[in-house]
Amino acid sequence: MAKKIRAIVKLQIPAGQATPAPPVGPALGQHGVNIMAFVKEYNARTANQVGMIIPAEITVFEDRSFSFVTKTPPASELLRKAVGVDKGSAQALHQKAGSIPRAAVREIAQTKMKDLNAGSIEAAMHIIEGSARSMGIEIVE
Amino acid sequence: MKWLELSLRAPAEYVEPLSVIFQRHGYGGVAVELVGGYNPDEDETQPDDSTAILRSYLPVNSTTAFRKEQIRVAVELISRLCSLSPLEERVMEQGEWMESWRSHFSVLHMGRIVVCPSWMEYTAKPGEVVIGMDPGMAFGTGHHPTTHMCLAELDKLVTSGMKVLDVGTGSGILTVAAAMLGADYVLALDIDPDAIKAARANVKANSLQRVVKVQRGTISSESNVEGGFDLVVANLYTKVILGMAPTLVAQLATRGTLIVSGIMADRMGEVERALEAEGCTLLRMDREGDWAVLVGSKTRG
Repeated sequence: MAKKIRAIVKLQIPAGQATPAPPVGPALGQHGVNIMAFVKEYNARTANQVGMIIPAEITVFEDRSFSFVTKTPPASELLRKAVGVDKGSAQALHQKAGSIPRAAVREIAQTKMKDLNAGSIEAAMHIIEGSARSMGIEIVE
Repeated sequence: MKWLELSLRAPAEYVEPLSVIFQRHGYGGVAVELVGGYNPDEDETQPDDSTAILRSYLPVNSTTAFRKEQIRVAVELISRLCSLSPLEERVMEQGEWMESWRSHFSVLHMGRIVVCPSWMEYTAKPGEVVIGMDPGMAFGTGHHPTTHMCLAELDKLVTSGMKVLDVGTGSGILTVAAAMLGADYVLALDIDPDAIKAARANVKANSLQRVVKVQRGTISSESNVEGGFDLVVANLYTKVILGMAPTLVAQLATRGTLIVSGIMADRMGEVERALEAEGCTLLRMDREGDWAVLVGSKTRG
């Protein structure tokens, strides 16, 4: 099974609720991936994270077989959940969307750690704080 | 219902901002695609200068024009910073992708063997052996040269009553073929749980449960692999075959035949020497594109 890679497709989709609708169906279908096989497997693997966006990275091989890994939810998603807002502020500088204690930032950093390019938890926290600021979320002690 | 697919090619560092725009105005998010064409099993890596393709989908209705305009303006602004391909548009029918992935598979003939995707009808001609396969996650639909060449060898080599070992079975296609060609017993091994699932499903779909045993594991760690096989087939890759050469040959009965595939053609000589060192003499080899298959016979031990 010498596997030459045909393409890598990254999708951000709701855990446990993937369907063959766009973007999943057309993005995978054009590479000859068995769409239902992916949907079933993705939903099974993410069943206990329903309510979160769980990105999937699908590797499609030359013969249309595939494998995939799931990633941690995007930082913005985890921040919105922690603050309890639907979306960030459109004018992050002037209008705050909410606030979050630093301890919660640390928790998010820990969740995201394995997908971040950060050498320490402090570095990971800086990345999360950056995302928070750009969404108009204030960090409080 | 119709869908509008918007796609564009962008340098990797602009994927993030473009994704945000697509995510906001598209339906259900964005698909980011990195172009392949390399083989990590042979230590090849993704080219550094690779660009990504972003795709987003808009339902065709009264909001389409507005959403498309939002995306178009944002793309135009970002294109002042870097070179982006023009935004491409394509209209798709709802559900057309459910059929389109299947168009990549067709009925495949290889000697006596006919591989037929499970959704197609095929009436066997006399002497033909029809295998029904459902392409799932696991490798092996018979359309890849490495699998293709193994099927051709199985067609020539399998006779009734044989005891066969399939190392790295994937979808189970070679196991099913060996069993359909008359093998008495086939042991299929794979270390990947998805492959085990797919192989079991395909064995069952071809009603071969009584002849085939699908087992998770490999031969180096599996003390319960009994050895003495008339035929061992290993469609893996060069590095693994080189490492496994002693264990592969050890599973063969004397005069038993070994098929190794998934080998890069330029490394054929290396594999031949490794097998020779274990007492397995090369009978023949075949090539298709970059790929080679080697057939050997155990003459010693």
